[in-house]
Amino acid sequence: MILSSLTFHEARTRLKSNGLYFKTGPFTIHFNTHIENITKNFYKLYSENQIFEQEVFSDFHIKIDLPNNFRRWVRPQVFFYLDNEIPFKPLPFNQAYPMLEWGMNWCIANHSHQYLIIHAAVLEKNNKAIILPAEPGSGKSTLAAILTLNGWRLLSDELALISLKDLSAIPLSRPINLKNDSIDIIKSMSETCIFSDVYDDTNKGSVALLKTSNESVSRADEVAIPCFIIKPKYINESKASLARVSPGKMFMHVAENSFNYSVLGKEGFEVLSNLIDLCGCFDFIYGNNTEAVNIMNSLVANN
Amino acid sequence: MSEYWEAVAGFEVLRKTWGSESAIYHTGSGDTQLLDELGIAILNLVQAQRLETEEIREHILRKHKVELEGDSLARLLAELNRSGVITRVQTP
Repeated sequence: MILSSLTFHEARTRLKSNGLYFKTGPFTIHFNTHIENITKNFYKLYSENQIFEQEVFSDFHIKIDLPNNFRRWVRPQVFFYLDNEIPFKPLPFNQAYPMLEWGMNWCIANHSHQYLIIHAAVLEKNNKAIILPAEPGSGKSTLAAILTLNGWRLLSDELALISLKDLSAIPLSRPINLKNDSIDIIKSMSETCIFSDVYDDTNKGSVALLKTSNESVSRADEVAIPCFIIKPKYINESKASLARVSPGKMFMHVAENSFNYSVLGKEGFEVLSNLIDLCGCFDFIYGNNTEAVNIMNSLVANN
Repeated sequence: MSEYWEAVAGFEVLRKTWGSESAIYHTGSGDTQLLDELGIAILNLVQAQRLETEEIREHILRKHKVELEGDSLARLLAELNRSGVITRVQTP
């Protein structure tokens, strides 16, 4: 059963009462909220995700709600609860929906040490997965969105989950977090793509979430084998260039962009070493969508 | 008083080498570093025996024909020291 098999009214009622149990990638999340804007955007962006009729074991019990004090009414704030605890500071009410996405990222990154977790997008085509590890603002999510709109399967936008057992990339296909100029760049590419509202004045600037492809969600159980690790950089109108990077330098880049490399200790070092051995490593500068798609397509077609 | 460098005992230093570069991981501090061939040669020397800075410089010159100029050796040793791989020992 998927979320869109409930009416909006049914979904809202569940979210307000006992909560809704839904699956994203390998995780089951129990989610509860009274906030209309979250319900509206969640229903739109997670419509293809599996939900459960009954109470099931959940990896995370999440609630986002207004406080029971004056900040409910005066410059209202929203609080994120994990297991009824508040792990971080509240955000302004108008950032409630991004808080759900960022909060889920936080839960997964801080608790799921059965994976090596990298701040990276992961996409797959022709049974070959590319990992795009990068700092915020590098154009990682923009490239992930461009490729998703051009037939690639999205495994992840923010959190690459790498199996410690066999190095496979585990799908965690959730909405793509676009910021500032990239929102209009992606909106101009397709009239049919589905976006959340745009949330201005967050600490990342303006933020909007792009619904991922139905295929990416429906194939959530199909892992992919990483073949390339590519460090992307968007430079407006720049000519695209794909240049090999030494494995050692990419190792350090991935380690620096991992959430739990140091938590995993020796195992993290060994898994990351093996992942680097498995993959070709590249720097990729791009400034034109079509050119970027062509280069990525030919990379997975030729190698 | 003499000052020597020696490997920190009791911890493993894992290595992974790709061509001329090696990533090392110190199981004590949890630090990771990327070393070139010279960095690995220096680490090997200090892991094999306790040495003074000048002895390391001489070994590198003799074995690798590389003259380590200025404070480049001191910087590398300090970096390995910071990550807990080697330590400075003073003897009377």
